[in-house]
Amino acid sequence: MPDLYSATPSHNRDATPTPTIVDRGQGKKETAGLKPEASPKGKSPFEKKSEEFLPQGGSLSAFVVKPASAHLSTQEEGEQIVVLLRRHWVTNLSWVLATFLMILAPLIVAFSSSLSFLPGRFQIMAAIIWYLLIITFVFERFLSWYFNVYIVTDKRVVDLDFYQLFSYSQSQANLSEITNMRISVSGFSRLFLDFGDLVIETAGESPNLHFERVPNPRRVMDIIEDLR
Amino acid sequence: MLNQPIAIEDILRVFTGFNPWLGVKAFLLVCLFIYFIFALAIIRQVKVFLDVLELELEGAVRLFAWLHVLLVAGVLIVAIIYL
Repeated sequence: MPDLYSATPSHNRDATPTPTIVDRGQGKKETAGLKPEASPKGKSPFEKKSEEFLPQGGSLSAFVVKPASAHLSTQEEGEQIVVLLRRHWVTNLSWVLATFLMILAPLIVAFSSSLSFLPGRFQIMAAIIWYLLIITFVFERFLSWYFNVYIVTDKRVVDLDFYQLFSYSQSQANLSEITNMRISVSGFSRLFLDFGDLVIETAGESPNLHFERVPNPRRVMDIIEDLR
Repeated sequence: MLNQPIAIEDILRVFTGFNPWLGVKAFLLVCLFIYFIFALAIIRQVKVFLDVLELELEGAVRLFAWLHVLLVAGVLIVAIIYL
């Protein structure tokens, strides 16, 4: 059985007493995606593990491994974001299609002359305001997608939900508190495009976390497993 | 002259001396002003978002939020002058 932390100085092991990690080391013979090698001195086991993941995904990706410039306000010193997830891009398709229809709507109205009762100035203003509404709609939808994120750090999992104006909720659970994880991938599009829900069940007072419609849920689960 | 249809606003103007399009303009201006407040609220929303989570496109998102406010203000001014 490989000892993940055999090269770690004893004072570092003592510094992060996490029973889950010990269980992981005793219970598993292999650690997917991780190399059981020594890390630089002074690094905690958590830091060692997160360093093994290679950066992946751009700033507009739904699945970003080791995001370069992401930082949580509650992030502790030394804590690293390992994975940042958003809803799969295909979930944006409905509002993107709606936007195209909204863009075309004035053409239909112009053809049908349904606004001909308005004076010319009001017709022009109606078109300008309509396109302004479309810009706002697209911006709001984009913000909703871009900032509703699920984050896996080397210490915890975080679910950030931003609702409409001025409100957001943040749920989190330490990796050591995770008791079970479930994946739900149902429907043709989800199966075909490999996205689905990941439910993270926790012990104690921490709430269960629901990562909804995230890409590669199996890989996310593997990563969390590796980090535990 | 007699064959031309009589517009509703002409009837209202004759009987009440009130131009209904002025009322429509006032209503539109009030709506656009509320819209402007909403655009400012989006700035606040973006700030709250970015305070909680810094991301790579922070500058672009902030810039677009301000451009959106300027756009709404521009439309409001155009509506005041043009209508």
